[in-house]
Amino acid sequence: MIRLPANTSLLSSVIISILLLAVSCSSDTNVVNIYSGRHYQVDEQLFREFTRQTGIRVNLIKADTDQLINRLELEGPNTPADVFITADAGRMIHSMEKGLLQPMNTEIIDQVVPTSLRDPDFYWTGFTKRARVFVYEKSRVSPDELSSYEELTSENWQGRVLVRSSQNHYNQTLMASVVAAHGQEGALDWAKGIVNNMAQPPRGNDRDQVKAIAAGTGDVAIVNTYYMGLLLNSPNQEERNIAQQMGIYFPNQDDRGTHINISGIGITAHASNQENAQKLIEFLLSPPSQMVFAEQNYEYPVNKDVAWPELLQEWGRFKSDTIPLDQLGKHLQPGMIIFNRAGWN
Amino acid sequence: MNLKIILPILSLQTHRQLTNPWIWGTLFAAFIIALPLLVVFSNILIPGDETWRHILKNLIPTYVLNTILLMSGVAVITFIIGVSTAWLVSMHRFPGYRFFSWALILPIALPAYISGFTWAGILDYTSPVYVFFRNHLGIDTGQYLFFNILSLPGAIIILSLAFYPYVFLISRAYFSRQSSALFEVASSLGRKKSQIFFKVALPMARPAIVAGISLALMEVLNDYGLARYFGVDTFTTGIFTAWFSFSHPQSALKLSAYLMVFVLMLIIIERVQRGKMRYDMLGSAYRPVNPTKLSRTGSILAIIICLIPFMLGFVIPLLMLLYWSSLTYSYVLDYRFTELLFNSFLLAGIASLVVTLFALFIAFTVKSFPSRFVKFLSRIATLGYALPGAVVAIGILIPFLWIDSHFAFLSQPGMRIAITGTWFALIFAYLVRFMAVGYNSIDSGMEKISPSLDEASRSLGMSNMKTLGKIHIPLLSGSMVSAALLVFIDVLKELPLTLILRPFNFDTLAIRAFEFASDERVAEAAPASIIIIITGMIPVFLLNRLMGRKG
Repeated sequence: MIRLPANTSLLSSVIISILLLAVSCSSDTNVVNIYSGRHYQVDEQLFREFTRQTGIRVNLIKADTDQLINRLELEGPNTPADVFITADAGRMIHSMEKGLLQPMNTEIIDQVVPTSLRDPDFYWTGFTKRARVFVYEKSRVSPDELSSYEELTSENWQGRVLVRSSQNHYNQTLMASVVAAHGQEGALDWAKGIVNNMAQPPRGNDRDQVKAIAAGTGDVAIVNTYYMGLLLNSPNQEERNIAQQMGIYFPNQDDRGTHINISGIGITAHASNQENAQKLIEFLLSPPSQMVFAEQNYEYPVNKDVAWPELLQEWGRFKSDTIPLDQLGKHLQPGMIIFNRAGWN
Repeated sequence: MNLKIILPILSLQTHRQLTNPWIWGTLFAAFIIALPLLVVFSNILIPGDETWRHILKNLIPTYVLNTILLMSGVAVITFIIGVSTAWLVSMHRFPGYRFFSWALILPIALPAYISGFTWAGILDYTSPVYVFFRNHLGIDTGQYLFFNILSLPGAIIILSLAFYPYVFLISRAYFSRQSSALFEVASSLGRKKSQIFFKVALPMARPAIVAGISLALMEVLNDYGLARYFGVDTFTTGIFTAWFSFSHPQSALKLSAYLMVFVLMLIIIERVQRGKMRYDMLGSAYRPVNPTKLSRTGSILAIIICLIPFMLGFVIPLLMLLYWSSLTYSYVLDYRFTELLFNSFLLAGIASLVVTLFALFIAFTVKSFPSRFVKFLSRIATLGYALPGAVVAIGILIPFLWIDSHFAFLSQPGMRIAITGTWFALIFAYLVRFMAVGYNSIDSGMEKISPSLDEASRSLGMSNMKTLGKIHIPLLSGSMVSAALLVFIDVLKELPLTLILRPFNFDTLAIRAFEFASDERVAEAAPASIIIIITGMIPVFLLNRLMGRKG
């Protein structure tokens, strides 16, 4: 027989308090619940502003994008999330393909976001964009030598190219855009060419690639504009110094344009606060919010009507690859296999 | 089900065991803890598809090789650092031994990936150290000062510095409870001091050393952030390549299942090799060892040996983090930090109590009612430590969401009832994840308690509860405190589980530090990292006071 401890009342109060901890009851109705793969302070600042303007409370969970996709999948119709945010177009496309999103109200999105930066059926839309550019050391490389992602595989760049690992999402969508432009065989040749010209095996993050140029390990790096913004505004004096020695070059201006990636947003398939979700999305696309992303987070606005802040102006206007991002989805997986085959780890 | 697993269940057939609430209670607890891991494990049966075969063929061979190199390196270095320093501070007297006996634990308060980022920051081209060397001493060694830290050897060094305290802590607890009788016997047989260490102390401490090293290696196996940043493709980065790059969580789970098999095999090999050796001692034979006073040169040598891991693993990275914090605290620290601190502290405190209690009960049951099934289950329940947290999270989400969906009918519009996304879910997740930390410390202490003590207690008519309370808990207090301490610090640093299972709008210090670090803003991550370290130092300090008073 199981004998209960003498102090049964203590035990039962412990059990009851555990059960209370165990159940979350939220009774608020004027809310919007967000799962976000972006980790920026500026996002939270804008969410607070949204609450101030609309009275809608924002609940937020930030985690790895793929973890969140997995959680949304497992939760199915019981998900508490209304809005899903990622920092990468590829993950947005995956979520749509898995049936995790629903179409949004088209009216405002259609007006402000270029068609190439959103899903044709409005399952998701970009709300900021970044360009994957070349960074070069001004004294060692003249911009005339540079031209395109493809040209980086030429003999001229033997042992001079720096780029991070293929596990990075930005490299994965870049690869998808190369597959879209040249087919899988062409993309494999390109990847092999880049691997062949690498100054060192891929390691570190985007900032480290720029520092490697400064140290003389290589001369040109494939980097996201966003990280150049961070370096130029770094708290570390030396980082600001080296960032100023670097030039930014927008590749492929003579053909398809520079590869861009977006941060995407969509409404989840089983959202219970759909209207509030729509309001939030339109708020983030509004000119004031777009300005905040551009000024404080060095991201390009997607809203065509928004003026660029000084830093982005200084880097210059450029032609971006207008292949609709939703068409990159099917090239992501083949792209990964190409990376592996080319030995781009 | 396999016959080998069923047979031991049937061998529980004596009447006493079948009606024993201890066994059933522990079986139930261990089963619940093992459940998420069994969910992950079950993926081993799912047939692989095209993507799986691609990953297996093209990626896994290199990943396995790198992992083995990394594990061997870390095993050797943590063994050397951990055992030598533990032996020095517990068996010898030299200036500063008291200080080192707790200072050497401190590197554990520094999350390994933060340490990796920090060391890269110290040695990279734009670090103030390198700038000084370059501009004032004319030393230019390329991208990194002296040594390219973003490499396999770099990863081995950083991970060893982060994890040797496991070996140190558990072997120190062991050495300081070593009976002098053993050494007296050895020296009366004409053994020299060095021989005593290698022939007596070291073999006797084997359970403790193995417990420490296996914790360190399990940490190595679950690490993802550091290996990825350092460009070292390990088995675990492979799991995430499958999941995040190929968007193929099934393959990730399947790889994780194989990882579990690998860890189980290592545990079994060690056990088989250990054979029927026993490490217990009768209480009456126990007399504390008189520490040896070291000579002058001996003292200097001892201080140097202790200083190296302390400086490299703690002081230097801490100084760098302080420097970064001085640049960024003004715009990074905000009013929310007190909330983060409160959340982190409370979560870590509750989790360390819960894990220690469960570990104590399971270890006691395994010892008192040994059967192969109970042992098997207790082993499964500790495997969560070797898996990446993000994978454990899937194993937890599946059963929790299943429960939630069956109680969804209770929810009204505007009112959701669910376990997922609550504190309870988080604490349970830590229990699954950190069971090994609690269990390994307590079990290695348990090995030292002679079964004849149990028998004596029972033959005097003491109940199990009383045997546990009067015999084991007093003898195990040191192991229990170090178990709780280790879990506390681990929860403080924990990231992937907290990220995905936390309630809405809930942040911890580790999350704040990670968000900046993952955004390549290490300097901004420094203030939160420093608060993690200080919070982690509090229990280390308290523990030391507690043990000091006892001695």
